[in-house]
Amino acid sequence: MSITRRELIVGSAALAAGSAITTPFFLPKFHFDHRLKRSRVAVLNAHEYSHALDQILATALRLFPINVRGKTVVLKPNLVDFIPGNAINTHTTLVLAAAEAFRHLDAKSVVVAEGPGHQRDTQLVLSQTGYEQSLRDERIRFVDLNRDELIRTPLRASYTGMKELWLPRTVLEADFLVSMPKIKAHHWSGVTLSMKNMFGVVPGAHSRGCEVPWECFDDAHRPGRRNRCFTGHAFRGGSGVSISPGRVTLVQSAARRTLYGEIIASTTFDGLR
Amino acid sequence: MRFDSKDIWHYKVPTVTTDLLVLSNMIAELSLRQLPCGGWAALASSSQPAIEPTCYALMALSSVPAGDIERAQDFLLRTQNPDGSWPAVLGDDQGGAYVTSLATIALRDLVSAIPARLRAIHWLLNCAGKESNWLWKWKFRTADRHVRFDPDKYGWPWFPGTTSWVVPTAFAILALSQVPCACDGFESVPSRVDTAIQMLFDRACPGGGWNAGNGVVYESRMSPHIDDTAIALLALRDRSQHPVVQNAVEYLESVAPALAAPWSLAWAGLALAAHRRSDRTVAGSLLGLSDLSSAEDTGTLAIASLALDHTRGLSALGVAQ
Repeated sequence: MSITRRELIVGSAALAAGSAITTPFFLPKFHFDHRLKRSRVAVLNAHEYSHALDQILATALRLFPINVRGKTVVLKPNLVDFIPGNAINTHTTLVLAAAEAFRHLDAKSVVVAEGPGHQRDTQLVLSQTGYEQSLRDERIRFVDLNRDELIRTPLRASYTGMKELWLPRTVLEADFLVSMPKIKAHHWSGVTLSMKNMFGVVPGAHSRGCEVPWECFDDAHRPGRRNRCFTGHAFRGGSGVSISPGRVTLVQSAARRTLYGEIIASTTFDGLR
Repeated sequence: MRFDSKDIWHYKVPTVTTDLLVLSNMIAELSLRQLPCGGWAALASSSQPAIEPTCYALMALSSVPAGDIERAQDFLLRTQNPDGSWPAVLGDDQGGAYVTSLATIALRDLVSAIPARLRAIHWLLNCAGKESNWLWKWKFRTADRHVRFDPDKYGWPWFPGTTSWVVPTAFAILALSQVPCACDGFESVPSRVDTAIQMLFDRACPGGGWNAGNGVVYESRMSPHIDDTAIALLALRDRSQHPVVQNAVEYLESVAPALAAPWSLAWAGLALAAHRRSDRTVAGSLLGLSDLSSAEDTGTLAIASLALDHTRGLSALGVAQ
Protein backbone atom coordinates (compact mmCIF):
# COMPACT_ATOMS: atom_id res chain seq x y z
CA MET A 1 0.00 0.00 0.00
CA SER A 2 1.45 3.35 -0.97
CA ILE A 3 0.64 6.73 0.56
CA THR A 4 0.73 9.83 -1.53
CA ARG A 5 2.21 13.03 -0.20
CA ARG A 6 -1.25 14.62 -0.25
CA GLU A 7 -2.65 11.77 1.87
CA LEU A 8 0.28 12.07 4.26
CA ILE A 9 -0.27 15.80 4.73
CA VAL A 10 -4.03 15.43 5.16
CA GLY A 11 -3.57 12.52 7.56
CA SER A 12 -0.97 14.38 9.61
CA ALA A 13 -3.17 17.45 9.78
CA ALA A 14 -6.13 15.33 10.92
CA LEU A 15 -3.97 13.65 13.55
CA ALA A 16 -2.70 17.00 14.82
CA ALA A 17 -6.22 18.43 14.96
CA GLY A 18 -7.49 15.35 16.76
CA SER A 19 -4.66 15.55 19.28
CA ALA A 20 -5.25 19.25 19.88
CA ILE A 21 -8.93 18.61 20.58
CA THR A 22 -8.54 15.54 22.77
CA THR A 23 -5.41 16.42 24.76
CA PRO A 24 -7.19 18.82 27.14
CA PHE A 25 -9.48 15.98 28.21
CA PHE A 26 -6.50 13.93 29.36
CA LEU A 27 -4.64 16.66 31.20
CA PRO A 28 -5.17 16.76 34.97
CA LYS A 29 -7.43 19.61 36.10
CA PHE A 30 -6.07 19.78 39.59
CA HIS A 31 -2.90 21.24 41.00
CA PHE A 32 -2.21 18.64 43.66
CA ASP A 33 -3.36 15.10 44.15
CA HIS A 34 -4.07 14.61 47.83
CA ARG A 35 -4.92 10.96 47.61
CA LEU A 36 -2.81 8.53 49.50
CA LYS A 37 -1.09 5.96 47.36
CA ARG A 38 -3.08 3.40 49.22
CA SER A 39 -6.18 4.33 51.20
CA ARG A 40 -6.48 2.96 54.69
CA VAL A 41 -9.82 1.27 54.92
CA ALA A 42 -11.64 -0.52 57.69
CA VAL A 43 -14.80 -2.43 56.97
CA LEU A 44 -16.82 -3.32 60.04
CA ASN A 45 -20.16 -5.04 60.05
CA ALA A 46 -23.19 -4.02 62.04
CA HIS A 47 -26.49 -5.79 61.83
CA GLU A 48 -28.76 -2.93 62.73
CA TYR A 49 -28.80 0.72 63.69
CA SER A 50 -28.38 0.51 67.42
CA HIS A 51 -26.23 1.72 70.29
CA ALA A 52 -23.79 -1.03 69.32
CA LEU A 53 -22.58 1.39 66.65
CA ASP A 54 -20.91 3.46 69.41
CA GLN A 55 -18.57 0.59 70.14
CA ILE A 56 -18.07 -0.32 66.49
CA LEU A 57 -17.03 3.20 65.53
CA ALA A 58 -14.80 3.50 68.59
CA THR A 59 -13.11 0.28 67.48
CA ALA A 60 -12.74 1.66 63.97
CA LEU A 61 -11.08 4.83 65.23
CA ARG A 62 -8.62 2.83 67.32
CA LEU A 63 -7.42 1.13 64.15
CA PHE A 64 -5.96 4.41 62.95
CA PRO A 65 -3.46 6.79 64.53
CA ILE A 66 -5.92 9.64 64.86
CA ASN A 67 -5.34 12.34 67.43
CA VAL A 68 -8.31 14.66 67.90
CA ARG A 69 -7.53 15.71 71.46
CA GLY A 70 -8.41 19.40 71.81
CA LYS A 71 -9.50 19.66 68.18
CA THR A 72 -12.77 20.68 66.58
CA VAL A 73 -14.52 17.89 64.72
CA VAL A 74 -17.22 18.56 62.14
CA LEU A 75 -19.48 15.69 61.15
CA LYS A 76 -21.04 16.19 57.74
CA PRO A 77 -24.03 13.88 57.28
CA ASN A 78 -26.13 13.70 54.13
CA LEU A 79 -29.44 15.42 54.88
CA VAL A 80 -31.38 15.91 51.70
CA ASP A 81 -35.04 16.12 52.47
CA PHE A 82 -37.66 14.15 54.31
CA ILE A 83 -39.63 11.56 52.39
CA PRO A 84 -41.66 9.30 54.71
CA GLY A 85 -40.61 5.68 54.42
CA ASN A 86 -37.61 6.44 52.21
CA ALA A 87 -34.15 6.28 53.73
CA ILE A 88 -32.40 9.10 51.94
CA ASN A 89 -30.50 10.63 54.86
CA THR A 90 -27.59 9.47 56.99
CA HIS A 91 -29.13 7.67 59.96
CA THR A 92 -29.07 9.71 63.15
CA THR A 93 -27.80 6.72 65.13
CA LEU A 94 -24.63 6.63 63.04
CA VAL A 95 -24.07 10.37 63.48
CA LEU A 96 -24.60 10.20 67.23
CA ALA A 97 -22.28 7.20 67.47
CA ALA A 98 -19.57 9.13 65.62
CA ALA A 99 -20.04 12.13 67.90
CA GLU A 100 -19.76 9.91 70.93
CA ALA A 101 -16.63 8.25 69.57
CA PHE A 102 -14.89 11.56 68.98
CA ARG A 103 -15.94 12.88 72.38
CA HIS A 104 -14.34 9.83 73.94
CA LEU A 105 -11.15 10.76 72.10
CA ASP A 106 -11.25 14.14 73.89
CA ALA A 107 -12.17 16.29 70.91
CA LYS A 108 -12.62 19.91 71.96
CA SER A 109 -15.96 20.11 70.20
CA VAL A 110 -18.06 17.98 67.90
CA VAL A 111 -20.42 19.77 65.57
CA VAL A 112 -22.88 18.40 63.02
CA ALA A 113 -23.07 20.56 59.90
CA GLU A 114 -25.05 20.29 56.68
CA GLY A 115 -26.64 22.47 54.02
CA PRO A 116 -29.54 20.62 52.39
CA GLY A 117 -29.46 21.03 48.64
CA HIS A 118 -33.15 21.01 47.74
CA GLN A 119 -34.90 22.02 50.94
CA ARG A 120 -34.43 25.62 51.98
CA ASP A 121 -36.08 25.03 55.35
CA THR A 122 -33.25 23.28 57.17
CA GLN A 123 -35.07 23.36 60.48
CA LEU A 124 -38.01 21.52 58.93
CA VAL A 125 -35.68 18.79 57.63
CA LEU A 126 -34.02 18.53 61.04
CA SER A 127 -37.34 18.25 62.80
CA GLN A 128 -38.93 15.76 60.39
CA THR A 129 -35.90 13.50 60.22
CA GLY A 130 -35.57 13.30 64.01
CA TYR A 131 -32.18 15.06 63.96
CA GLU A 132 -33.46 18.00 66.00
CA GLN A 133 -34.55 15.87 68.93
CA SER A 134 -31.52 13.56 68.77
CA LEU A 135 -29.01 16.41 68.66
CA ARG A 136 -30.82 18.24 71.43
CA ASP A 137 -30.82 15.13 73.61
CA GLU A 138 -27.09 14.72 73.13
CA ARG A 139 -26.45 18.47 73.32
CA ILE A 140 -24.68 18.57 69.98
CA ARG A 141 -24.56 21.82 68.06
CA PHE A 142 -25.87 21.90 64.48
CA VAL A 143 -24.63 24.40 61.90
CA ASP A 144 -26.78 25.16 58.86
CA LEU A 145 -24.15 25.42 56.13
CA ASN A 146 -26.62 27.20 53.85
CA ARG A 147 -26.60 30.13 56.25
CA ASP A 148 -23.13 29.95 57.74
CA GLU A 149 -20.56 32.70 57.16
CA LEU A 150 -18.80 32.24 53.85
CA ILE A 151 -15.14 32.55 52.94
CA ARG A 152 -13.96 32.89 49.36
CA THR A 153 -11.73 29.88 48.81
CA PRO A 154 -9.40 29.33 45.86
CA LEU A 155 -9.86 25.93 44.23
CA ARG A 156 -7.12 23.46 43.54
CA ALA A 157 -9.06 21.97 40.68
CA SER A 158 -10.90 23.52 37.76
CA TYR A 159 -13.35 20.97 36.39
CA THR A 160 -16.11 23.58 36.46
CA GLY A 161 -13.95 26.39 35.16
CA MET A 162 -14.49 28.21 38.46
CA LYS A 163 -11.38 29.47 40.21
CA GLU A 164 -12.95 29.77 43.64
CA LEU A 165 -15.91 28.76 45.74
CA TRP A 166 -17.54 30.38 48.74
CA LEU A 167 -17.31 27.81 51.50
CA PRO A 168 -18.67 27.87 55.06
CA ARG A 169 -16.42 29.03 57.85
CA THR A 170 -17.39 26.08 60.04
CA VAL A 171 -16.02 23.62 57.49
CA LEU A 172 -12.88 25.57 56.69
CA GLU A 173 -11.98 26.11 60.33
CA ALA A 174 -12.59 22.52 61.39
CA ASP A 175 -9.53 20.56 62.46
CA PHE A 176 -11.19 17.33 61.48
CA LEU A 177 -13.91 16.98 58.85
CA VAL A 178 -15.78 13.71 58.68
CA SER A 179 -17.91 12.93 55.66
CA MET A 180 -20.86 10.74 56.60
CA PRO A 181 -22.59 9.99 53.33
CA LYS A 182 -25.60 7.88 52.60
CA ILE A 183 -24.70 5.60 49.76
CA LYS A 184 -27.38 5.92 47.13
CA ALA A 185 -28.20 5.05 43.58
CA HIS A 186 -27.80 7.91 41.16
CA HIS A 187 -29.18 8.18 37.66
CA TRP A 188 -25.89 9.37 36.17
CA SER A 189 -23.15 7.54 37.99
CA GLY A 190 -25.03 4.56 39.36
CA VAL A 191 -23.96 5.36 42.90
CA THR A 192 -23.14 8.40 45.00
CA LEU A 193 -20.39 8.23 47.58
CA SER A 194 -18.42 10.48 49.84
CA MET A 195 -17.49 13.02 47.19
CA LYS A 196 -21.12 13.87 46.44
CA ASN A 197 -21.80 14.23 50.14
CA MET A 198 -19.07 16.85 50.29
CA PHE A 199 -20.97 18.87 47.72
CA GLY A 200 -23.28 19.72 50.61
CA VAL A 201 -20.63 21.98 52.10
CA VAL A 202 -21.17 24.39 49.21
CA PRO A 203 -23.93 26.71 50.41
CA GLY A 204 -27.24 26.59 48.58
CA ALA A 205 -26.90 30.10 47.25
CA HIS A 206 -23.97 28.83 45.19
CA SER A 207 -24.52 25.13 44.65
CA ARG A 208 -27.86 25.82 43.03
CA GLY A 209 -25.99 27.47 40.21
CA CYS A 210 -23.96 24.36 39.65
CA GLU A 211 -25.72 21.97 37.36
CA VAL A 212 -22.80 19.83 36.29
CA PRO A 213 -22.67 18.02 39.60
CA TRP A 214 -19.85 15.58 39.04
CA GLU A 215 -17.51 18.39 38.17
CA CYS A 216 -18.76 20.47 41.06
CA PHE A 217 -18.35 17.59 43.48
CA ASP A 218 -14.72 17.22 42.61
CA ASP A 219 -14.04 20.93 42.81
CA ALA A 220 -15.90 21.17 46.11
CA HIS A 221 -13.97 18.25 47.46
CA ARG A 222 -10.48 19.37 46.61
CA PRO A 223 -10.11 22.64 48.50
CA GLY A 224 -10.41 20.91 51.83
CA ARG A 225 -8.06 18.59 53.56
CA ARG A 226 -8.21 14.89 53.01
CA ASN A 227 -11.51 13.94 54.52
CA ARG A 228 -12.45 11.04 56.69
CA CYS A 229 -15.43 9.04 55.74
CA PHE A 230 -17.90 7.04 57.78
CA THR A 231 -20.51 5.58 55.54
CA GLY A 232 -23.80 3.96 56.29
CA HIS A 233 -25.44 1.28 54.24
CA ALA A 234 -26.69 1.43 50.70
CA PHE A 235 -30.42 1.47 50.25
CA ARG A 236 -32.77 0.54 47.51
CA GLY A 237 -34.34 3.18 45.37
CA GLY A 238 -32.68 6.54 45.54
CA SER A 239 -33.01 9.35 43.05
CA GLY A 240 -35.76 7.48 41.30
CA VAL A 241 -33.54 4.49 40.48
CA SER A 242 -33.99 1.09 42.03
CA ILE A 243 -31.05 -1.05 43.03
CA SER A 244 -31.61 -4.74 42.76
CA PRO A 245 -30.23 -6.89 45.60
CA GLY A 246 -27.42 -8.01 43.29
CA ARG A 247 -26.31 -4.48 42.69
CA VAL A 248 -26.12 -3.67 46.36
CA THR A 249 -23.02 -5.80 46.67
CA LEU A 250 -21.59 -4.02 43.66
CA VAL A 251 -22.36 -0.66 45.22
CA GLN A 252 -20.69 -1.59 48.47
CA SER A 253 -17.71 -2.98 46.65
CA ALA A 254 -17.41 0.21 44.61
CA ALA A 255 -17.70 2.26 47.79
CA ARG A 256 -14.90 0.37 49.44
CA ARG A 257 -12.59 0.73 46.49
CA THR A 258 -13.16 4.20 45.20
CA LEU A 259 -13.90 6.50 48.09
CA TYR A 260 -11.30 9.07 48.89
CA GLY A 261 -10.32 9.17 52.51
CA GLU A 262 -8.93 7.10 55.26
CA ILE A 263 -11.73 5.31 56.99
CA ILE A 264 -14.79 3.59 55.87
CA ALA A 265 -16.94 2.01 58.51
CA SER A 266 -19.25 0.18 56.22
CA THR A 267 -22.32 -1.21 57.82
CA THR A 268 -24.13 -4.04 56.16
CA PHE A 269 -27.65 -4.79 57.19
CA ASP A 270 -29.92 -7.77 56.85
CA GLY A 271 -32.47 -5.87 54.84
CA LEU A 272 -30.05 -5.44 52.00
CA ARG A 273 -28.92 -8.95 51.50
CA MET B 1 -28.65 25.98 66.06
CA ARG B 2 -27.52 25.73 69.63
CA PHE B 3 -28.69 22.29 70.63
CA ASP B 4 -25.67 22.16 72.96
CA SER B 5 -26.98 24.93 75.17
CA LYS B 6 -29.98 25.19 77.43
CA ASP B 7 -30.31 28.86 76.72
CA ILE B 8 -31.97 28.46 73.38
CA TRP B 9 -35.38 29.46 72.21
CA HIS B 10 -36.66 25.89 71.90
CA TYR B 11 -36.47 25.54 75.64
CA LYS B 12 -37.98 28.82 76.64
CA VAL B 13 -41.32 28.56 78.34
CA PRO B 14 -44.05 30.22 76.29
CA THR B 15 -45.50 33.26 77.98
CA VAL B 16 -48.93 34.71 77.55
CA THR B 17 -48.57 37.48 75.01
CA THR B 18 -50.64 39.28 72.48
CA ASP B 19 -49.94 39.11 68.76
CA LEU B 20 -48.92 42.76 68.76
CA LEU B 21 -46.43 42.32 71.55
CA VAL B 22 -44.81 39.36 69.83
CA LEU B 23 -44.70 41.27 66.57
CA SER B 24 -43.16 44.34 68.15
CA ASN B 25 -40.52 42.19 69.82
CA MET B 26 -39.69 40.65 66.48
CA ILE B 27 -39.47 44.02 64.77
CA ALA B 28 -37.24 45.31 67.56
CA GLU B 29 -35.00 42.26 67.26
CA LEU B 30 -34.76 42.71 63.51
CA SER B 31 -33.71 46.32 63.84
CA LEU B 32 -31.13 45.35 66.47
CA ARG B 33 -29.60 42.87 64.05
CA GLN B 34 -28.96 45.48 61.37
CA LEU B 35 -25.24 45.68 60.66
CA PRO B 36 -23.30 48.96 60.50
CA CYS B 37 -23.10 48.59 56.71
CA GLY B 38 -26.92 48.73 56.56
CA GLY B 39 -27.49 45.11 55.63
CA TRP B 40 -28.36 42.01 57.62
CA ALA B 41 -26.52 38.73 58.03
CA ALA B 42 -28.17 35.36 57.53
CA LEU B 43 -27.71 34.45 61.18
CA ALA B 44 -27.93 36.48 64.38
CA SER B 45 -24.42 35.38 65.32
CA SER B 46 -22.89 36.49 62.02
CA SER B 47 -21.58 39.84 60.87
CA GLN B 48 -21.36 38.98 57.19
CA PRO B 49 -24.09 40.84 55.28
CA ALA B 50 -26.13 38.85 52.77
CA ILE B 51 -28.61 40.08 50.20
CA GLU B 52 -31.55 37.71 50.75
CA PRO B 53 -32.02 38.31 54.50
CA THR B 54 -31.45 42.02 53.90
CA CYS B 55 -34.31 42.09 51.41
CA TYR B 56 -36.66 40.27 53.79
CA ALA B 57 -35.67 42.51 56.71
CA LEU B 58 -36.16 45.63 54.61
CA MET B 59 -39.63 44.43 53.60
CA ALA B 60 -40.49 43.69 57.22
CA LEU B 61 -39.33 47.09 58.45
CA SER B 62 -40.38 49.18 55.47
CA SER B 63 -43.69 50.35 56.95
CA VAL B 64 -42.82 50.50 60.62
CA PRO B 65 -40.77 53.11 62.46
CA ALA B 66 -37.88 50.81 63.30
CA GLY B 67 -34.39 50.22 62.01
CA ASP B 68 -32.44 52.48 59.74
CA ILE B 69 -34.35 51.92 56.51
CA GLU B 70 -32.39 54.50 54.55
CA ARG B 71 -29.13 52.80 55.43
CA ALA B 72 -30.57 49.46 54.36
CA GLN B 73 -31.75 50.90 51.06
CA ASP B 74 -28.34 52.48 50.49
CA PHE B 75 -26.74 49.14 51.19
CA LEU B 76 -28.82 47.45 48.52
CA LEU B 77 -28.17 50.22 46.00
CA ARG B 78 -24.42 50.06 46.70
CA THR B 79 -24.28 46.32 46.16
CA GLN B 80 -26.07 46.25 42.80
CA ASN B 81 -23.96 44.94 39.94
CA PRO B 82 -23.33 47.24 36.95
CA ASP B 83 -25.60 45.08 34.79
CA GLY B 84 -28.57 45.64 37.12
CA SER B 85 -28.44 42.32 38.94
CA TRP B 86 -27.56 41.62 42.56
CA PRO B 87 -25.01 39.05 43.75
CA ALA B 88 -25.99 36.30 46.20
CA VAL B 89 -23.31 37.46 48.63
CA LEU B 90 -21.11 40.51 48.78
CA GLY B 91 -17.92 40.11 46.80
CA ASP B 92 -19.33 37.38 44.59
CA ASP B 93 -18.75 37.52 40.84
CA GLN B 94 -20.97 39.89 38.89
CA GLY B 95 -23.04 37.30 37.10
CA GLY B 96 -26.12 38.09 39.16
CA ALA B 97 -28.48 35.84 41.08
CA TYR B 98 -32.11 35.17 42.01
CA VAL B 99 -31.94 37.80 44.76
CA THR B 100 -32.26 40.44 42.02
CA SER B 101 -36.02 39.91 42.12
CA LEU B 102 -36.11 40.28 45.90
CA ALA B 103 -34.05 43.47 45.85
CA THR B 104 -36.33 44.90 43.17
CA ILE B 105 -39.34 44.19 45.38
CA ALA B 106 -37.66 45.49 48.53
CA LEU B 107 -36.83 48.83 46.88
CA ARG B 108 -40.29 49.32 45.37
CA ASP B 109 -41.26 52.32 47.50
CA LEU B 110 -38.05 54.28 47.05
CA VAL B 111 -38.25 56.93 44.34
CA SER B 112 -34.49 57.38 44.10
CA ALA B 113 -34.15 53.65 43.45
CA ILE B 114 -36.23 53.77 40.26
CA PRO B 115 -33.18 53.76 37.91
CA ALA B 116 -31.71 50.81 39.82
CA ARG B 117 -35.00 48.94 39.65
CA LEU B 118 -35.33 49.62 35.92
CA ARG B 119 -31.86 48.16 35.35
CA ALA B 120 -32.81 45.17 37.46
CA ILE B 121 -35.99 44.59 35.49
CA HIS B 122 -34.07 44.73 32.21
CA TRP B 123 -31.64 42.18 33.65
CA LEU B 124 -34.53 39.94 34.66
CA LEU B 125 -36.02 40.18 31.18
CA ASN B 126 -32.70 39.12 29.66
CA CYS B 127 -32.35 36.22 32.06
CA ALA B 128 -34.17 32.95 31.42
CA GLY B 129 -33.93 29.28 32.26
CA LYS B 130 -31.51 27.37 30.09
CA GLU B 131 -34.34 25.36 28.56
CA SER B 132 -35.48 28.51 26.74
CA ASN B 133 -32.56 28.05 24.35
CA TRP B 134 -33.45 26.06 21.21
CA LEU B 135 -30.53 23.67 21.65
CA TRP B 136 -31.51 22.79 25.20
CA LYS B 137 -35.17 22.51 24.18
CA TRP B 138 -34.10 19.97 21.59
CA LYS B 139 -32.00 18.10 24.14
CA PHE B 140 -34.84 17.92 26.67
CA ARG B 141 -37.27 16.78 23.99
CA THR B 142 -35.06 14.05 22.52
CA ALA B 143 -32.05 12.91 24.54
CA ASP B 144 -32.86 13.87 28.12
CA ARG B 145 -36.45 13.00 28.95
CA HIS B 146 -36.05 11.68 32.47
CA VAL B 147 -37.58 14.78 33.97
CA ARG B 148 -41.14 15.33 32.77
CA PHE B 149 -41.55 18.95 31.76
CA ASP B 150 -42.34 21.14 28.78
CA PRO B 151 -39.22 23.17 27.86
CA ASP B 152 -41.39 25.67 26.00
CA LYS B 153 -42.57 26.78 29.41
CA TYR B 154 -39.68 28.40 31.19
CA GLY B 155 -39.08 30.89 33.95
CA TRP B 156 -36.01 31.98 35.85
CA PRO B 157 -32.99 30.13 37.26
CA TRP B 158 -31.22 30.61 40.59
CA PHE B 159 -28.24 31.79 38.53
CA PRO B 160 -27.88 32.65 34.82
CA GLY B 161 -26.92 29.72 32.64
CA THR B 162 -28.94 27.14 34.57
CA THR B 163 -32.47 25.80 34.21
CA SER B 164 -35.66 27.25 35.67
CA TRP B 165 -36.68 26.52 39.26
CA VAL B 166 -39.88 27.26 41.11
CA VAL B 167 -38.75 29.80 43.72
CA PRO B 168 -36.67 32.13 41.52
CA THR B 169 -39.45 32.04 38.92
CA ALA B 170 -42.06 32.97 41.51
CA PHE B 171 -39.91 35.81 42.86
CA ALA B 172 -39.34 37.13 39.32
CA ILE B 173 -43.09 37.03 38.59
CA LEU B 174 -43.70 39.10 41.73
CA ALA B 175 -40.99 41.59 40.75
CA LEU B 176 -42.18 41.97 37.15
CA SER B 177 -45.81 42.24 38.18
CA GLN B 178 -44.94 45.64 39.63
CA VAL B 179 -43.97 47.07 36.23
CA PRO B 180 -46.74 49.61 35.59
CA CYS B 181 -46.98 49.26 31.82
CA ALA B 182 -45.73 47.15 28.93
CA CYS B 183 -43.94 50.08 27.32
CA ASP B 184 -40.53 51.75 27.06
CA GLY B 185 -38.55 48.56 26.69
CA PHE B 186 -40.83 46.49 28.89
CA GLU B 187 -43.04 45.19 26.08
CA SER B 188 -41.97 41.63 26.80
CA VAL B 189 -43.00 41.71 30.47
CA PRO B 190 -46.55 40.32 30.00
CA SER B 191 -45.39 37.45 27.79
CA ARG B 192 -42.50 36.55 30.11
CA VAL B 193 -44.80 36.56 33.12
CA ASP B 194 -47.39 34.49 31.27
CA THR B 195 -44.78 31.94 30.14
CA ALA B 196 -43.47 31.74 33.69
CA ILE B 197 -46.95 31.16 35.08
CA GLN B 198 -47.44 28.37 32.54
CA MET B 199 -44.09 26.96 33.68
CA LEU B 200 -45.28 26.86 37.28
CA PHE B 201 -48.45 25.04 36.24
CA ASP B 202 -46.34 22.61 34.20
CA ARG B 203 -43.90 21.84 37.04
CA ALA B 204 -46.53 21.27 39.77
CA CYS B 205 -46.47 18.00 41.68
CA PRO B 206 -49.21 15.59 40.61
CA GLY B 207 -50.58 15.48 44.16
CA GLY B 208 -50.67 19.27 44.50
CA GLY B 209 -48.08 21.88 45.41
CA TRP B 210 -44.54 22.31 44.18
CA ASN B 211 -41.19 20.70 44.83
CA ALA B 212 -38.04 22.76 44.17
CA GLY B 213 -37.96 22.08 40.44
CA ASN B 214 -40.18 19.49 38.85
CA GLY B 215 -43.16 17.34 39.69
CA VAL B 216 -42.16 14.05 38.06
CA VAL B 217 -38.60 12.76 37.77
CA TYR B 218 -37.70 9.29 36.51
CA GLU B 219 -41.38 8.37 36.63
CA SER B 220 -41.35 9.18 40.35
CA ARG B 221 -43.90 11.66 41.64
CA MET B 222 -42.12 14.28 43.71
CA SER B 223 -43.45 15.37 47.09
CA PRO B 224 -44.26 19.06 47.46
CA HIS B 225 -42.22 21.41 49.65
CA ILE B 226 -44.19 23.77 51.87
CA ASP B 227 -42.13 26.91 51.31
CA ASP B 228 -41.75 26.34 47.56
CA THR B 229 -45.50 25.79 47.28
CA ALA B 230 -46.30 28.89 49.31
CA ILE B 231 -43.95 31.14 47.33
CA ALA B 232 -45.37 29.83 44.04
CA LEU B 233 -48.89 30.53 45.33
CA LEU B 234 -47.94 34.12 46.12
CA ALA B 235 -46.90 34.56 42.50
CA LEU B 236 -50.17 32.98 41.35
CA ARG B 237 -52.41 35.18 43.45
CA ASP B 238 -54.40 36.18 40.36
CA ARG B 239 -55.03 32.58 39.32
CA SER B 240 -56.95 31.42 42.35
CA GLN B 241 -59.50 29.54 40.27
CA HIS B 242 -56.97 27.42 38.40
CA PRO B 243 -57.16 23.74 39.48
CA VAL B 244 -53.38 23.57 40.07
CA VAL B 245 -53.60 26.55 42.40
CA GLN B 246 -56.61 25.16 44.23
CA ASN B 247 -54.85 21.81 44.72
CA ALA B 248 -51.81 23.61 46.10
CA VAL B 249 -53.89 25.72 48.49
CA GLU B 250 -55.63 22.57 49.74
CA TYR B 251 -52.25 20.91 50.24
CA LEU B 252 -51.00 23.88 52.29
CA GLU B 253 -54.17 23.96 54.36
CA SER B 254 -53.75 20.27 55.14
CA VAL B 255 -50.11 20.43 56.26
CA ALA B 256 -49.84 23.86 57.87
CA PRO B 257 -51.57 23.07 61.18
CA ALA B 258 -49.00 20.41 62.08
CA LEU B 259 -45.97 22.52 61.18
CA ALA B 260 -43.42 23.55 63.80
CA ALA B 261 -40.80 25.10 61.51
CA PRO B 262 -41.25 28.90 61.43
CA TRP B 263 -39.82 29.48 57.93
CA SER B 264 -42.30 27.15 56.20
CA LEU B 265 -45.11 28.13 58.53
CA ALA B 266 -44.65 31.83 57.81
CA TRP B 267 -44.60 31.39 54.04
CA ALA B 268 -47.66 29.14 54.28
CA GLY B 269 -49.49 31.80 56.30
CA LEU B 270 -48.73 34.48 53.72
CA ALA B 271 -49.84 32.25 50.83
CA LEU B 272 -53.10 31.25 52.50
CA ALA B 273 -53.85 34.88 53.31
CA ALA B 274 -53.12 35.86 49.71
CA HIS B 275 -55.68 33.31 48.53
CA ARG B 276 -58.17 34.51 51.12
CA ARG B 277 -58.09 31.36 53.17
CA SER B 278 -58.17 31.58 56.91
CA ASP B 279 -54.67 32.04 58.26
CA ARG B 280 -55.77 32.00 61.92
CA THR B 281 -54.42 28.48 62.44
CA VAL B 282 -51.06 29.40 60.96
CA ALA B 283 -50.83 32.61 62.98
CA GLY B 284 -51.70 30.65 66.09
CA SER B 285 -49.03 28.07 65.32
CA LEU B 286 -46.46 30.80 64.73
CA LEU B 287 -47.29 32.47 68.01
CA GLY B 288 -47.12 29.08 69.69
CA LEU B 289 -43.47 28.70 68.73
CA SER B 290 -42.44 30.23 72.03
CA ASP B 291 -39.95 33.08 71.55
CA LEU B 292 -39.98 33.72 67.80
CA SER B 293 -37.83 36.82 68.14
CA SER B 294 -34.89 34.65 69.20
CA ALA B 295 -34.89 32.72 65.94
CA GLU B 296 -31.27 32.47 64.84
CA ASP B 297 -32.12 32.80 61.15
CA THR B 298 -32.79 36.44 60.31
CA GLY B 299 -34.70 35.59 57.12
CA THR B 300 -37.08 33.45 59.15
CA LEU B 301 -37.54 36.23 61.69
CA ALA B 302 -38.40 38.73 58.95
CA ILE B 303 -40.78 36.45 57.05
CA ALA B 304 -42.50 35.43 60.28
CA SER B 305 -43.06 39.08 61.19
CA LEU B 306 -44.55 39.67 57.73
CA ALA B 307 -46.82 36.65 58.19
CA LEU B 308 -48.09 37.83 61.58
CA ASP B 309 -49.24 41.06 59.94
CA HIS B 310 -50.19 39.58 56.59
CA THR B 311 -51.85 42.67 55.12
CA ARG B 312 -48.60 44.56 55.51
CA GLY B 313 -46.61 41.46 54.58
CA LEU B 314 -48.39 40.84 51.29
CA SER B 315 -48.12 44.49 50.41
CA ALA B 316 -44.37 44.46 51.12
CA LEU B 317 -43.94 41.40 48.91
CA GLY B 318 -45.83 43.10 46.10
CA VAL B 319 -48.70 40.61 46.14
CA ALA B 320 -51.85 42.20 44.78
CA GLN B 321 -54.80 41.95 47.16
